[in-house]
Amino acid sequence: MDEAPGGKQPTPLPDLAASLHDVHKNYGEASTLVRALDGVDLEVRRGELLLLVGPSGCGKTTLLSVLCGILDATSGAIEVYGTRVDQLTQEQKTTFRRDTIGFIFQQFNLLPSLTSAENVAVPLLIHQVPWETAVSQARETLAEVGMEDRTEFFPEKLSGGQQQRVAIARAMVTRPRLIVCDEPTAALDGTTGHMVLQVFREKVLTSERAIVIVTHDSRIFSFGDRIADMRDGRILGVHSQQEHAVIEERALQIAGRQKAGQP
Amino acid sequence: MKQNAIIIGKAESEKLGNPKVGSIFEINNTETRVVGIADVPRDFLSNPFVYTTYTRSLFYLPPDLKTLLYVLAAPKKGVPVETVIASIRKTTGLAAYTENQYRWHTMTYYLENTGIPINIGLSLTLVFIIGTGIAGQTFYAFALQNERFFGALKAMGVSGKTLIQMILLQSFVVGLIGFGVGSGLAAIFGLSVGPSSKVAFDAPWQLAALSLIAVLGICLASSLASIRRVLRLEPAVVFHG
Repeated sequence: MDEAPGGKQPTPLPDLAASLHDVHKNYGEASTLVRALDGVDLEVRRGELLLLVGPSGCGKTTLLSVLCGILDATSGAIEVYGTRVDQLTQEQKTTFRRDTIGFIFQQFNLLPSLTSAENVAVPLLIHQVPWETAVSQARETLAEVGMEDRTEFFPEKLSGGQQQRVAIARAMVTRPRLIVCDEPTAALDGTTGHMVLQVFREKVLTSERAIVIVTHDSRIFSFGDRIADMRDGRILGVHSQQEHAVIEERALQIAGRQKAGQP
Repeated sequence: MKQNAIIIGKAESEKLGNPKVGSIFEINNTETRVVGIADVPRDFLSNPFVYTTYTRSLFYLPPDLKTLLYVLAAPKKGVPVETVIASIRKTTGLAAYTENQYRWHTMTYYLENTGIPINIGLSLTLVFIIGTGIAGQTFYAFALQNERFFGALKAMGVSGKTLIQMILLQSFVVGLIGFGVGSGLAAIFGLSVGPSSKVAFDAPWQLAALSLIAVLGICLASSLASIRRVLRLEPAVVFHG
Protein backbone atom coordinates (compact mmCIF):
# COMPACT_ATOMS: atom_id res chain seq x y z
CA MET A 1 0.00 0.00 0.00
CA ASP A 2 1.61 3.26 -1.03
CA GLU A 3 -0.12 5.43 1.47
CA ALA A 4 -1.93 4.53 4.62
CA PRO A 5 -5.46 5.99 4.55
CA GLY A 6 -5.50 6.41 8.30
CA GLY A 7 -1.99 7.68 8.82
CA LYS A 8 1.42 6.02 9.04
CA GLN A 9 3.83 4.89 11.68
CA PRO A 10 7.00 6.95 11.34
CA THR A 11 9.16 4.31 9.64
CA PRO A 12 8.08 0.67 9.71
CA LEU A 13 10.87 -1.89 9.84
CA PRO A 14 11.45 -3.16 6.32
CA ASP A 15 11.06 -6.82 7.23
CA LEU A 16 7.97 -6.32 9.35
CA ALA A 17 4.59 -7.37 7.96
CA ALA A 18 2.51 -6.50 11.01
CA SER A 19 2.94 -5.38 14.57
CA LEU A 20 0.72 -4.97 17.59
CA HIS A 21 1.81 -2.82 20.47
CA ASP A 22 0.07 -2.85 23.86
CA VAL A 23 -3.23 -3.85 22.32
CA HIS A 24 -6.23 -4.21 24.61
CA LYS A 25 -9.70 -5.43 23.77
CA ASN A 26 -12.38 -5.38 26.43
CA TYR A 27 -15.92 -6.68 26.35
CA GLY A 28 -18.61 -5.50 28.77
CA GLU A 29 -18.16 -3.04 31.61
CA ALA A 30 -17.44 -2.95 35.36
CA SER A 31 -18.45 -6.29 36.90
CA THR A 32 -19.00 -7.91 33.50
CA LEU A 33 -15.70 -6.67 32.06
CA VAL A 34 -13.77 -9.29 30.11
CA ARG A 35 -10.25 -8.52 28.97
CA ALA A 36 -10.01 -10.55 25.79
CA LEU A 37 -6.69 -8.93 24.92
CA ASP A 38 -4.64 -7.59 27.78
CA GLY A 39 -1.66 -5.67 26.45
CA VAL A 40 -0.62 -7.74 23.47
CA ASP A 41 2.75 -7.08 21.83
CA LEU A 42 3.49 -9.08 18.71
CA GLU A 43 5.46 -8.74 15.50
CA VAL A 44 4.88 -10.67 12.30
CA ARG A 45 7.75 -10.73 9.82
CA ARG A 46 7.51 -10.73 6.07
CA GLY A 47 7.93 -14.18 4.57
CA GLU A 48 7.15 -16.03 7.77
CA LEU A 49 4.42 -18.42 8.79
CA LEU A 50 3.47 -17.55 12.34
CA LEU A 51 1.35 -19.89 14.41
CA LEU A 52 -0.75 -18.40 17.18
CA VAL A 53 -1.47 -21.11 19.72
CA GLY A 54 -3.12 -21.35 23.09
CA PRO A 55 -6.12 -22.81 24.91
CA SER A 56 -9.72 -22.01 23.98
CA GLY A 57 -10.82 -18.58 25.13
CA CYS A 58 -7.29 -17.19 25.46
CA GLY A 59 -7.97 -14.49 22.85
CA LYS A 60 -6.39 -15.92 19.68
CA THR A 61 -9.40 -15.29 17.47
CA THR A 62 -9.91 -11.84 18.96
CA LEU A 63 -6.28 -11.04 18.23
CA LEU A 64 -6.68 -12.20 14.63
CA SER A 65 -9.87 -10.14 14.23
CA VAL A 66 -8.22 -7.02 15.64
CA LEU A 67 -5.12 -7.53 13.48
CA CYS A 68 -7.11 -7.49 10.27
CA GLY A 69 -9.51 -4.75 11.30
CA ILE A 70 -12.74 -6.64 11.62
CA LEU A 71 -12.86 -5.90 15.34
CA ASP A 72 -11.92 -2.57 16.89
CA ALA A 73 -9.31 -2.70 19.64
CA THR A 74 -10.09 -0.86 22.85
CA SER A 75 -6.58 0.63 22.79
CA GLY A 76 -3.14 0.05 21.37
CA ALA A 77 -1.38 0.37 18.02
CA ILE A 78 -1.88 -2.08 15.17
CA GLU A 79 0.16 -1.73 12.03
CA VAL A 80 0.00 -3.89 8.93
CA TYR A 81 2.46 -3.20 6.10
CA GLY A 82 2.83 0.39 7.24
CA THR A 83 -0.85 1.11 7.72
CA ARG A 84 -2.15 1.99 11.17
CA VAL A 85 -5.24 -0.22 11.14
CA ASP A 86 -6.47 1.14 14.47
CA GLN A 87 -6.68 4.64 12.98
CA LEU A 88 -8.78 3.73 9.96
CA THR A 89 -12.49 4.43 9.63
CA GLN A 90 -14.81 1.46 9.13
CA GLU A 91 -15.01 2.23 5.43
CA GLN A 92 -11.23 2.43 5.14
CA LYS A 93 -10.92 -0.84 7.04
CA THR A 94 -13.24 -2.51 4.55
CA THR A 95 -11.07 -1.28 1.67
CA PHE A 96 -7.91 -2.18 3.56
CA ARG A 97 -9.08 -5.77 4.13
CA ARG A 98 -10.12 -6.07 0.51
CA ASP A 99 -6.71 -4.90 -0.74
CA THR A 100 -4.29 -6.31 1.80
CA ILE A 101 -5.62 -9.41 3.53
CA GLY A 102 -6.64 -12.89 2.46
CA PHE A 103 -8.88 -14.91 4.76
CA ILE A 104 -9.09 -18.63 5.35
CA PHE A 105 -11.75 -19.90 7.71
CA GLN A 106 -12.24 -23.06 9.73
CA GLN A 107 -15.51 -23.88 7.97
CA PHE A 108 -14.17 -22.81 4.55
CA ASN A 109 -17.25 -20.58 3.96
CA LEU A 110 -17.38 -21.34 0.26
CA LEU A 111 -20.65 -20.16 -1.27
CA PRO A 112 -22.58 -23.38 -1.93
CA SER A 113 -24.29 -22.18 -5.10
CA LEU A 114 -21.01 -21.28 -6.82
CA THR A 115 -18.44 -23.57 -8.42
CA SER A 116 -14.85 -23.69 -7.16
CA ALA A 117 -13.73 -21.26 -9.86
CA GLU A 118 -16.60 -18.88 -9.14
CA ASN A 119 -15.89 -19.00 -5.40
CA VAL A 120 -12.25 -18.16 -6.02
CA ALA A 121 -13.33 -15.35 -8.35
CA VAL A 122 -15.39 -13.64 -5.61
CA PRO A 123 -12.54 -11.46 -4.22
CA LEU A 124 -11.69 -10.37 -7.79
CA LEU A 125 -15.33 -9.49 -8.40
CA ILE A 126 -15.22 -7.41 -5.21
CA HIS A 127 -12.30 -5.62 -6.88
CA GLN A 128 -14.58 -4.91 -9.88
CA VAL A 129 -12.64 -7.29 -12.16
CA PRO A 130 -14.91 -8.34 -15.07
CA TRP A 131 -16.54 -11.78 -14.66
CA GLU A 132 -14.70 -13.58 -17.48
CA THR A 133 -11.29 -12.30 -16.41
CA ALA A 134 -12.03 -13.07 -12.76
CA VAL A 135 -13.05 -16.67 -13.45
CA SER A 136 -10.07 -17.16 -15.75
CA GLN A 137 -7.66 -15.89 -13.06
CA ALA A 138 -9.47 -18.03 -10.50
CA ARG A 139 -8.85 -21.15 -12.62
CA GLU A 140 -5.13 -20.29 -12.80
CA THR A 141 -4.96 -19.87 -9.03
CA LEU A 142 -6.80 -23.15 -8.48
CA ALA A 143 -4.18 -24.80 -10.66
CA GLU A 144 -1.47 -23.38 -8.38
CA VAL A 145 -2.94 -25.31 -5.45
CA GLY A 146 -3.44 -28.48 -7.47
CA MET A 147 -7.16 -28.11 -8.06
CA GLU A 148 -7.16 -27.59 -11.82
CA ASP A 149 -9.37 -30.66 -12.31
CA ARG A 150 -12.02 -29.43 -9.84
CA THR A 151 -12.68 -25.91 -11.11
CA GLU A 152 -16.30 -26.58 -12.07
CA PHE A 153 -17.19 -28.60 -8.98
CA PHE A 154 -19.60 -27.27 -6.38
CA PRO A 155 -18.31 -27.27 -2.77
CA GLU A 156 -20.59 -30.12 -1.72
CA LYS A 157 -18.87 -32.37 -4.26
CA LEU A 158 -15.43 -31.69 -2.76
CA SER A 159 -13.71 -33.30 0.22
CA GLY A 160 -12.77 -31.18 3.24
CA GLY A 161 -9.16 -30.93 2.09
CA GLN A 162 -10.21 -29.94 -1.42
CA GLN A 163 -12.60 -27.31 -0.06
CA GLN A 164 -9.81 -25.89 2.07
CA ARG A 165 -7.54 -25.73 -0.98
CA VAL A 166 -10.26 -23.84 -2.83
CA ALA A 167 -10.46 -21.51 0.16
CA ILE A 168 -6.67 -21.05 0.01
CA ALA A 169 -6.92 -20.21 -3.69
CA ARG A 170 -9.67 -17.71 -2.87
CA ALA A 171 -7.43 -16.09 -0.25
CA MET A 172 -4.49 -15.95 -2.70
CA VAL A 173 -6.21 -14.83 -5.86
CA THR A 174 -5.84 -11.10 -5.26
CA ARG A 175 -2.22 -11.60 -4.17
CA PRO A 176 -2.72 -10.14 -0.66
CA ARG A 177 0.36 -9.47 1.43
CA LEU A 178 -1.04 -10.89 4.65
CA ILE A 179 -3.04 -14.10 4.92
CA VAL A 180 -4.85 -14.91 8.14
CA CYS A 181 -6.27 -18.35 8.89
CA ASP A 182 -8.54 -19.45 11.67
CA GLU A 183 -8.07 -23.11 12.58
CA PRO A 184 -7.54 -24.13 8.94
CA THR A 185 -7.02 -27.79 9.83
CA ALA A 186 -9.64 -28.19 12.54
CA ALA A 187 -12.16 -29.76 10.18
CA LEU A 188 -9.57 -31.97 8.47
CA ASP A 189 -7.92 -35.29 9.30
CA GLY A 190 -4.18 -35.39 10.08
CA THR A 191 -2.97 -36.34 6.60
CA THR A 192 -5.17 -33.76 4.86
CA GLY A 193 -4.15 -31.14 7.41
CA HIS A 194 -0.49 -31.80 6.58
CA MET A 195 -1.20 -31.52 2.86
CA VAL A 196 -2.98 -28.21 3.37
CA LEU A 197 -0.07 -26.83 5.42
CA GLN A 198 2.33 -28.00 2.74
CA VAL A 199 0.34 -25.96 0.24
CA PHE A 200 0.68 -22.97 2.56
CA ARG A 201 4.44 -23.34 2.75
CA GLU A 202 5.09 -24.16 -0.88
CA LYS A 203 2.48 -22.15 -2.75
CA VAL A 204 1.21 -19.38 -0.52
CA LEU A 205 4.22 -18.17 1.41
CA THR A 206 6.49 -15.71 -0.39
CA SER A 207 9.30 -13.47 0.76
CA GLU A 208 6.92 -10.49 0.85
CA ARG A 209 3.88 -12.23 2.21
CA ALA A 210 3.20 -13.32 5.78
CA ILE A 211 0.79 -15.93 7.06
CA VAL A 212 -0.74 -15.93 10.53
CA ILE A 213 -2.49 -19.11 11.56
CA VAL A 214 -4.58 -19.50 14.70
CA THR A 215 -4.58 -23.14 15.68
CA HIS A 216 -5.06 -25.70 18.41
CA ASP A 217 -3.68 -28.41 16.21
CA SER A 218 -0.29 -29.50 17.55
CA ARG A 219 0.12 -31.77 14.49
CA ILE A 220 0.91 -28.74 12.36
CA PHE A 221 3.28 -26.94 14.74
CA SER A 222 6.25 -28.19 12.72
CA PHE A 223 5.12 -26.04 9.76
CA GLY A 224 5.44 -22.74 11.60
CA ASP A 225 8.53 -20.53 11.38
CA ARG A 226 7.65 -19.18 14.80
CA ILE A 227 5.01 -20.04 17.35
CA ALA A 228 3.36 -17.40 19.55
CA ASP A 229 1.94 -18.76 22.82
CA MET A 230 -1.14 -17.02 24.15
CA ARG A 231 -2.73 -17.27 27.58
CA ASP A 232 -5.43 -15.10 29.10
CA GLY A 233 -5.25 -12.39 26.47
CA ARG A 234 -1.45 -12.08 26.54
CA ILE A 235 1.42 -13.32 24.45
CA LEU A 236 3.61 -15.39 26.74
CA GLY A 237 6.37 -15.72 24.22
CA VAL A 238 7.24 -16.18 20.58
CA HIS A 239 9.53 -19.12 19.87
CA SER A 240 11.02 -21.03 17.03
CA GLN A 241 9.40 -24.41 16.56
CA GLN A 242 12.43 -26.11 18.21
CA GLU A 243 12.17 -23.89 21.28
CA HIS A 244 8.45 -24.44 21.38
CA ALA A 245 8.86 -28.21 21.22
CA VAL A 246 11.21 -28.08 24.21
CA ILE A 247 8.76 -25.89 26.15
CA GLU A 248 5.86 -28.18 25.35
CA GLU A 249 7.84 -31.21 26.42
CA ARG A 250 8.75 -29.57 29.71
CA ALA A 251 5.13 -28.59 30.27
CA LEU A 252 4.04 -32.17 29.63
CA GLN A 253 6.68 -33.50 32.05
CA ILE A 254 5.53 -31.08 34.76
CA ALA A 255 1.89 -32.01 34.18
CA GLY A 256 2.79 -35.72 34.31
CA ARG A 257 4.69 -35.31 37.59
CA GLN A 258 1.83 -33.33 39.11
CA LYS A 259 -0.59 -36.06 38.11
CA ALA A 260 1.65 -38.69 39.68
CA GLY A 261 1.91 -36.63 42.87
CA GLN A 262 5.64 -36.02 42.51
CA PRO A 263 7.22 -32.62 43.27
CA MET B 1 -90.40 -7.87 -30.34
CA LYS B 2 -93.37 -10.04 -29.53
CA GLN B 3 -95.59 -9.26 -26.58
CA ASN B 4 -94.21 -10.44 -23.23
CA ALA B 5 -90.96 -11.25 -24.92
CA ILE B 6 -87.66 -10.94 -23.12
CA ILE B 7 -84.02 -11.57 -23.85
CA ILE B 8 -81.83 -13.10 -21.18
CA GLY B 9 -78.09 -12.94 -20.61
CA LYS B 10 -76.22 -16.15 -21.45
CA ALA B 11 -73.92 -15.91 -18.44
CA GLU B 12 -76.88 -15.54 -16.07
CA SER B 13 -79.26 -18.06 -17.58
CA GLU B 14 -78.49 -20.52 -14.80
CA LYS B 15 -80.01 -18.14 -12.25
CA LEU B 16 -83.28 -18.37 -14.21
CA GLY B 17 -83.24 -22.17 -14.44
CA ASN B 18 -81.44 -22.39 -17.82
CA PRO B 19 -84.34 -21.40 -20.07
CA LYS B 20 -83.91 -21.77 -23.82
CA VAL B 21 -85.32 -19.69 -26.64
CA GLY B 22 -89.05 -20.33 -26.56
CA SER B 23 -89.13 -21.21 -22.87
CA ILE B 24 -91.98 -19.69 -20.92
CA PHE B 25 -91.87 -18.64 -17.29
CA GLU B 26 -93.35 -16.03 -15.03
CA ILE B 27 -92.01 -12.75 -13.77
CA ASN B 28 -94.15 -11.32 -10.97
CA ASN B 29 -97.10 -13.56 -11.99
CA THR B 30 -96.89 -12.42 -15.59
CA GLU B 31 -96.15 -14.98 -18.28
CA THR B 32 -93.13 -14.24 -20.33
CA ARG B 33 -91.32 -15.94 -23.21
CA VAL B 34 -87.62 -16.05 -23.92
CA VAL B 35 -87.03 -14.86 -27.45
CA GLY B 36 -83.28 -14.51 -27.38
CA ILE B 37 -80.11 -15.17 -25.44
CA ALA B 38 -77.54 -12.40 -25.43
CA ASP B 39 -73.83 -12.93 -24.97
CA VAL B 40 -73.24 -10.18 -22.40
CA PRO B 41 -70.65 -10.05 -19.60
CA ARG B 42 -71.70 -11.32 -16.24
CA ASP B 43 -72.74 -8.62 -13.78
CA PHE B 44 -71.08 -8.09 -10.41
CA LEU B 45 -74.45 -8.30 -8.58
CA SER B 46 -76.32 -11.50 -7.84
CA ASN B 47 -79.70 -10.60 -9.40
CA PRO B 48 -80.20 -11.81 -13.00
CA PHE B 49 -80.89 -9.31 -15.74
CA VAL B 50 -83.56 -9.65 -18.44
CA TYR B 51 -83.88 -7.31 -21.38
CA THR B 52 -87.07 -5.98 -22.95
CA THR B 53 -88.63 -2.68 -24.02
CA TYR B 54 -89.55 -0.13 -21.40
CA THR B 55 -93.25 -0.39 -22.23
CA ARG B 56 -93.26 -4.16 -21.84
CA SER B 57 -91.25 -4.01 -18.66
CA LEU B 58 -94.11 -2.13 -17.02
CA PHE B 59 -96.30 -5.24 -17.33
CA TYR B 60 -93.95 -7.19 -15.06
CA LEU B 61 -93.60 -4.64 -12.33
CA PRO B 62 -95.94 -3.62 -9.52
CA PRO B 63 -97.59 -0.30 -10.48
CA ASP B 64 -96.68 1.41 -7.20
CA LEU B 65 -92.97 0.68 -7.52
CA LYS B 66 -90.65 3.34 -8.80
CA THR B 67 -88.76 1.05 -11.04
CA LEU B 68 -86.93 3.05 -13.61
CA LEU B 69 -83.25 3.17 -12.75
CA TYR B 70 -81.82 4.56 -15.90
CA VAL B 71 -82.43 4.90 -19.59
CA LEU B 72 -79.56 3.94 -21.84
CA ALA B 73 -79.47 6.19 -24.84
CA ALA B 74 -77.12 6.81 -27.71
CA PRO B 75 -76.90 10.13 -29.57
CA LYS B 76 -77.75 10.21 -33.25
CA LYS B 77 -74.83 10.21 -35.57
CA GLY B 78 -73.19 13.62 -35.69
CA VAL B 79 -74.81 14.92 -32.49
CA PRO B 80 -72.27 15.59 -29.71
CA VAL B 81 -72.95 13.65 -26.54
CA GLU B 82 -72.61 16.83 -24.44
CA THR B 83 -75.48 18.40 -26.41
CA VAL B 84 -77.69 15.37 -25.79
CA ILE B 85 -76.87 15.43 -22.07
CA ALA B 86 -77.68 19.12 -21.82
CA SER B 87 -80.91 18.59 -23.70
CA ILE B 88 -82.04 15.69 -21.49
CA ARG B 89 -81.31 17.69 -18.36
CA LYS B 90 -83.19 20.70 -19.68
CA THR B 91 -86.19 18.79 -20.98
CA THR B 92 -86.74 16.25 -18.19
CA GLY B 93 -85.06 17.81 -15.20
CA LEU B 94 -83.33 14.46 -14.64
CA ALA B 95 -79.67 13.72 -14.37
CA ALA B 96 -77.82 12.66 -17.49
CA TYR B 97 -74.30 11.33 -17.73
CA THR B 98 -71.82 10.12 -20.27
CA GLU B 99 -70.80 6.47 -20.04
CA ASN B 100 -67.65 7.32 -18.14
CA GLN B 101 -69.42 9.71 -15.75
CA TYR B 102 -72.05 7.09 -15.02
CA ARG B 103 -69.39 4.44 -14.37
CA TRP B 104 -67.72 6.67 -11.76
CA HIS B 105 -71.09 7.69 -10.36
CA THR B 106 -71.96 4.01 -9.81
CA MET B 107 -68.56 3.18 -8.34
CA THR B 108 -68.73 6.14 -6.00
CA TYR B 109 -72.17 5.00 -4.88
CA TYR B 110 -70.89 1.54 -4.00
CA LEU B 111 -67.81 2.93 -2.30
CA GLU B 112 -69.81 5.37 -0.19
CA ASN B 113 -72.96 3.41 0.54
CA THR B 114 -72.02 -0.25 0.80
CA GLY B 115 -69.62 -2.37 2.87
CA ILE B 116 -67.82 -3.59 -0.23
CA PRO B 117 -64.80 -1.26 0.04
CA ILE B 118 -64.38 -2.06 3.73
CA ASN B 119 -64.61 -5.81 3.15
CA ILE B 120 -62.29 -5.79 0.17
CA GLY B 121 -60.00 -3.22 1.83
CA LEU B 122 -59.73 -5.36 4.96
CA SER B 123 -58.98 -8.43 2.88
CA LEU B 124 -56.31 -6.58 0.93
CA THR B 125 -54.78 -5.13 4.10
CA LEU B 126 -54.67 -8.59 5.67
CA VAL B 127 -53.13 -10.04 2.52
CA PHE B 128 -50.52 -7.26 2.51
CA ILE B 129 -49.66 -7.75 6.19
CA ILE B 130 -49.56 -11.54 5.97
CA GLY B 131 -47.60 -11.41 2.70
CA THR B 132 -45.07 -9.01 4.19
CA GLY B 133 -44.83 -11.12 7.35
CA ILE B 134 -44.25 -14.39 5.53
CA ALA B 135 -41.84 -12.90 3.00
CA GLY B 136 -40.00 -11.00 5.76
CA GLN B 137 -39.67 -14.10 7.89
CA THR B 138 -38.40 -16.08 4.91
CA PHE B 139 -35.78 -13.48 4.02
CA TYR B 140 -34.77 -13.07 7.65
CA ALA B 141 -34.38 -16.84 8.00
CA PHE B 142 -32.27 -16.78 4.86
CA ALA B 143 -30.07 -14.03 6.33
CA LEU B 144 -29.67 -16.01 9.57
CA GLN B 145 -28.94 -19.22 7.74
CA ASN B 146 -26.31 -17.54 5.61
CA GLU B 147 -24.84 -15.34 8.30
CA ARG B 148 -21.39 -16.89 8.04
CA PHE B 149 -21.33 -16.27 4.29
CA PHE B 150 -22.37 -12.66 4.74
CA GLY B 151 -19.73 -12.41 7.47
CA ALA B 152 -17.11 -13.89 5.16
CA LEU B 153 -18.02 -11.42 2.43
CA LYS B 154 -17.83 -8.53 4.89
CA ALA B 155 -14.46 -9.74 6.14
CA MET B 156 -13.19 -9.97 2.55
CA GLY B 157 -14.09 -6.33 2.00
CA VAL B 158 -17.60 -6.29 0.56
CA SER B 159 -19.17 -2.94 1.43
CA GLY B 160 -22.51 -2.53 3.21
CA LYS B 161 -23.95 -0.95 0.06
CA THR B 162 -23.13 -4.03 -2.00
CA LEU B 163 -24.68 -6.31 0.64
CA ILE B 164 -27.87 -4.22 0.58
CA GLN B 165 -27.95 -4.47 -3.21
CA MET B 166 -27.51 -8.24 -2.97
CA ILE B 167 -30.39 -8.64 -0.53
CA LEU B 168 -32.71 -6.33 -2.49
CA LEU B 169 -31.86 -8.01 -5.78
CA GLN B 170 -32.64 -11.38 -4.30
CA SER B 171 -35.86 -10.10 -2.78
CA PHE B 172 -37.04 -8.44 -5.99
CA VAL B 173 -36.15 -11.44 -8.14
CA VAL B 174 -38.15 -13.71 -5.84
CA GLY B 175 -41.00 -11.17 -5.78
CA LEU B 176 -41.07 -10.79 -9.55
CA ILE B 177 -41.04 -14.55 -10.06
CA GLY B 178 -43.94 -14.79 -7.62
CA PHE B 179 -45.75 -11.96 -9.38
CA GLY B 180 -45.21 -13.63 -12.75
CA VAL B 181 -46.47 -16.98 -11.53
CA GLY B 182 -49.46 -15.36 -9.78
CA SER B 183 -50.40 -13.19 -12.75
CA GLY B 184 -49.99 -16.13 -15.11
CA LEU B 185 -52.22 -18.36 -13.00
CA ALA B 186 -54.82 -15.58 -12.73
CA ALA B 187 -54.73 -15.09 -16.50
CA ILE B 188 -55.14 -18.81 -17.10
CA PHE B 189 -58.05 -18.84 -14.67
CA GLY B 190 -59.64 -15.84 -16.39
CA LEU B 191 -59.26 -17.41 -19.81
CA SER B 192 -60.57 -20.78 -18.64
CA VAL B 193 -63.73 -19.42 -16.98
CA GLY B 194 -64.64 -17.37 -20.06
CA PRO B 195 -67.18 -14.57 -20.32
CA SER B 196 -70.26 -16.77 -19.89
CA SER B 197 -69.25 -18.53 -16.69
CA LYS B 198 -70.75 -18.14 -13.22
CA VAL B 199 -67.72 -16.09 -12.14
CA ALA B 200 -67.44 -12.41 -12.97
CA PHE B 201 -63.76 -12.02 -13.92
CA ASP B 202 -62.18 -8.77 -14.98
CA ALA B 203 -58.46 -8.06 -14.84
CA PRO B 204 -57.54 -4.71 -16.37
CA TRP B 205 -53.87 -3.76 -16.74
CA GLN B 206 -54.24 -1.22 -13.93
CA LEU B 207 -54.89 -4.12 -11.53
CA ALA B 208 -51.71 -5.86 -12.66
CA ALA B 209 -49.75 -2.61 -12.28
CA LEU B 210 -51.12 -2.04 -8.78
CA SER B 211 -50.34 -5.65 -7.84
CA LEU B 212 -46.78 -5.23 -9.10
CA ILE B 213 -46.33 -2.09 -7.00
CA ALA B 214 -47.76 -3.94 -3.98
CA VAL B 215 -45.43 -6.91 -4.54
CA LEU B 216 -42.39 -4.65 -4.83
CA GLY B 217 -43.53 -2.83 -1.69
CA ILE B 218 -43.80 -6.14 0.16
CA CYS B 219 -40.33 -7.14 -1.10
CA LEU B 220 -38.84 -3.87 0.10
CA ALA B 221 -40.57 -3.99 3.49
CA SER B 222 -39.71 -7.64 4.06
CA SER B 223 -36.04 -7.07 3.17
CA LEU B 224 -35.53 -4.38 5.79
CA ALA B 225 -35.13 -6.79 8.70
CA SER B 226 -32.55 -8.86 6.83
CA ILE B 227 -30.69 -5.75 5.69
CA ARG B 228 -30.55 -4.50 9.28
CA ARG B 229 -29.34 -7.90 10.48
CA VAL B 230 -26.61 -8.15 7.85
CA LEU B 231 -25.43 -4.57 8.30
CA ARG B 232 -25.13 -5.05 12.06
CA LEU B 233 -23.39 -8.37 11.63
CA GLU B 234 -19.84 -8.35 12.99
CA PRO B 235 -17.61 -9.91 10.35
CA ALA B 236 -15.74 -11.55 13.24
CA VAL B 237 -18.65 -14.01 13.38
CA VAL B 238 -16.85 -15.96 10.63
CA PHE B 239 -14.06 -16.83 13.05
CA HIS B 240 -16.41 -18.60 15.43
CA GLY B 241 -16.09 -22.08 13.97
